[in-house]
Amino acid sequence: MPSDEATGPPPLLQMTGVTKRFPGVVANDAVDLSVARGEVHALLGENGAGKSTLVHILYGLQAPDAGEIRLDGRPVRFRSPRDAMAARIGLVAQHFHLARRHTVAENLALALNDTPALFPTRSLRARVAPLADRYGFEVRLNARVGTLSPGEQQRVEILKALLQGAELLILDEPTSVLTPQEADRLFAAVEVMKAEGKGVVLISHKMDEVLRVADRITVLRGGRVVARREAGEADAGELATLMVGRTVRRGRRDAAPEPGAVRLRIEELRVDGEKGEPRLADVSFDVRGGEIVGVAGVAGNGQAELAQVLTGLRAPTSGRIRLDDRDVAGLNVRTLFERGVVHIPEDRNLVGVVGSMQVAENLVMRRHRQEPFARGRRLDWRAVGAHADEAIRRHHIAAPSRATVTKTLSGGNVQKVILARELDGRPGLVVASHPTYGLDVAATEETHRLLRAQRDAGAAVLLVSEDLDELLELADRIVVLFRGRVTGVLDADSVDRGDIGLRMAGQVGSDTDPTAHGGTGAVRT
Amino acid sequence: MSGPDVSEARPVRTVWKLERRAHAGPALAWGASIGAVVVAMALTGALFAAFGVDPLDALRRIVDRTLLDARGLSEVARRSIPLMLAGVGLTLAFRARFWNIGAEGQLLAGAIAASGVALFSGLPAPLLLPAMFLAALVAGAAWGLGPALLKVRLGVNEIITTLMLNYVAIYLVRWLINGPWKGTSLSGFAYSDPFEQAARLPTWAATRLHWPTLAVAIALAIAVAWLLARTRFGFEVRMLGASPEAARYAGVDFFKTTVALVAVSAGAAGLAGFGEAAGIHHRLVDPNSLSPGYGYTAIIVALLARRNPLAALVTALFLGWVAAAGDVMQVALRLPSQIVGVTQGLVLLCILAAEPVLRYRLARVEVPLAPPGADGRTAEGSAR
Repeated sequence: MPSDEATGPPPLLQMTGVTKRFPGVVANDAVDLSVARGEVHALLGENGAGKSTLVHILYGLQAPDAGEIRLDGRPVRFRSPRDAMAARIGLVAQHFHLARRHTVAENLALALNDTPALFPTRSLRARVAPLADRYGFEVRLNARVGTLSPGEQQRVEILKALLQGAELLILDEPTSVLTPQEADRLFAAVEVMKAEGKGVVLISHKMDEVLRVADRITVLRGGRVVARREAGEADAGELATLMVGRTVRRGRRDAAPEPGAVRLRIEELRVDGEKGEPRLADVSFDVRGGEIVGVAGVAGNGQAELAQVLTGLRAPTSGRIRLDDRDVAGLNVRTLFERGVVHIPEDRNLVGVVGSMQVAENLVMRRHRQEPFARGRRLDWRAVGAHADEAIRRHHIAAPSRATVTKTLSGGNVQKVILARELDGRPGLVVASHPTYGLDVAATEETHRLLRAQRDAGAAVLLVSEDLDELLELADRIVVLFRGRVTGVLDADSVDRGDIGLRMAGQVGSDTDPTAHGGTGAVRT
Repeated sequence: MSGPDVSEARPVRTVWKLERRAHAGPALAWGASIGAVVVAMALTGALFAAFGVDPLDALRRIVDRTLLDARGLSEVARRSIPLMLAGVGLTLAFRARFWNIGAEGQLLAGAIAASGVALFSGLPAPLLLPAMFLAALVAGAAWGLGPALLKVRLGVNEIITTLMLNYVAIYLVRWLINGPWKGTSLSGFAYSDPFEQAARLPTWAATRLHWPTLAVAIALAIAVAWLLARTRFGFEVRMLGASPEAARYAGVDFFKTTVALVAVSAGAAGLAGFGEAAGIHHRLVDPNSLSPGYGYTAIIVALLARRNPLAALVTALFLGWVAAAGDVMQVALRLPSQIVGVTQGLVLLCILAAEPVLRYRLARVEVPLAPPGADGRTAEGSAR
């Protein structure tokens, strides 16, 4: 490194003021990011924080609305990934871009510009061998990609980028498909890249690996850079808190009524994923009537599975779920809904409503089997229409008419349709997943008001949120999840924000966790 | 290499850009269907010209002999009947995104069942036609149920299974008329014995228009429209087709709903087979004579009708007219018989080509030109 900073070489990558707007959202708001040669720069952020958009812009998949990208000091503008590759940028995407039916060698040959027309893979072995040697990747060139493990496929992707001469590598959630041992090997290779003077952008929402390999860390939230830390000065708890937000919105907790009897009891719940991996394990907690229990955690730590199991969208592998002292584990969506389980789903546009149907239809779906909307097997559209007009008026849904196609509404109004449908009755259990995600202040307040009203009416409310402030504002108790396990059930009145952060990062409360991978508990800075 | 001066005002250029539409209204959707038909007709006209036939003159003569002539008109109507039955059934399946390509096989299964009852049941005369009707309905539904079960239980693609079962049905008919059901009255020909009079559908005056089946087709279209619009079942079918994830969240039973709607859809095609056997041929004949691809044409009927059962009556009449016009083309214009298939294909192609019109619109947008130095280097460097 030259001693004189001012005359030193410009950084490998310099993104300045990069802004990208989509209808209704600013995905990247004046984001700055620089990567020096020999540096690993981590981008940390929740789903929807703008990480993917930034990568898409850097890789030429999307054009920024404003801002500048410089490589080695020269301004560049990419129209497609071809341009980015030509500028020596390599992307190892979360979902691999490989032809599964072809061999590793064929996939590599496909990615190279100078591949001969005949016998495309002939000279490849000689070129791959030194690279594989240097980075400690052994690859079976003649194996079909479809037969490789995800870790091996990822190594093929990395080799592809290196063969293309990439100087800047973007690793997008690289460890999401890896075993801990494979992750170790990947990070060993990253060390080699650093030593060779390449730059690496590491996208992740896992604190432990970021702390382990990054030199600098940039935290994105809501499309903005909210913090930038040198590796030495970063702290897992602080980063977790920064990621999920410390907005200045100061809501006071209102006077909650005294909670009633236990309505929802979860005991030793276990849910396995498609490959038999545990998504939830040993989860036990209660929710009382008249109580809001918040679920905190970094995305992907079991919150989605918890909401799905409670609402019948996913079957539990083992364990008990009791609602008002009746066993409800494994019941289907329809039966659970009839027993008073309502659900504000995470993906409101895809799951919560049928976008191409009318507002009136969406206001009765799920309730369309009940009086007065159903008359035997027929539907009473007059009742549906009257109900829709009522709901539109009472919830101030900004729809031109009840016949409006739902997908033309704004996000806030789509959510109002869902809230009107789910929260108009007297449910026993309300499962709300990220109910205010992406909503404006007024719609957020309204959502909170409706959730509180249900609590006051005696419902058990389970609120899953990535917004810590929202949880602290609304919840009476907070359950923290890390890797599918409960790392704490905390009283919201006396909780310490940093403590929640540490539990979200798995650094407190998970020491008895037998499945904890190496590196999790060990990293303290 | 010194960069160019970037301080001057950036020029702007206007470009055409495809934009996604938020939502295509019904007027646009119908416009697209009508546009597709017009374009297909124009292309067919060009084909006529290539054969040395004046397209306008040909159209006049076709209209003369199909629409302005009582007998021609009855031919259009009777060819529309199987298209209506199978097409209306397909609108229901397509609404739920069950892509049933097997109406042809379901139609043949219905014809086999109806013929079996007519030839071998020995039922008293007044019961014969109702029994044939029921048998065709059940057989058609059964032919569709296999693919439906495979889809909901094992996730097997219904496009492949329904399509393949068409060939099974075709060869089953061939085997029957060459083997066990081969007629004794006309030796040397591959078809079954003729049905007795009580097993034949009445026709309109001296035409081949078996009107009871036409009445059934119209009633079915009204019933399916009512089912879709007015019942819980129809609402769930529409949810399933519009968003499977939301349907699951709404508690729609994927298994029951799919099986029920496929039974209705395939049963309707079975009824079309009943109509052809009992109304036209009065015996089980070669599959190519029994159905010149009605089951496939019905797909076009359903898509052109934008999956609306009542509109399928109209589009079935249109494609029935195309089929009837084919006879005129062959006889009066000496064009090859394949021209009907070509016209149908063009209609389908044009419908599919019109889909992007519904999803996108062309808009003129202004984009700032990038500073040439920043832009040119990488973009042009990699382009060549």
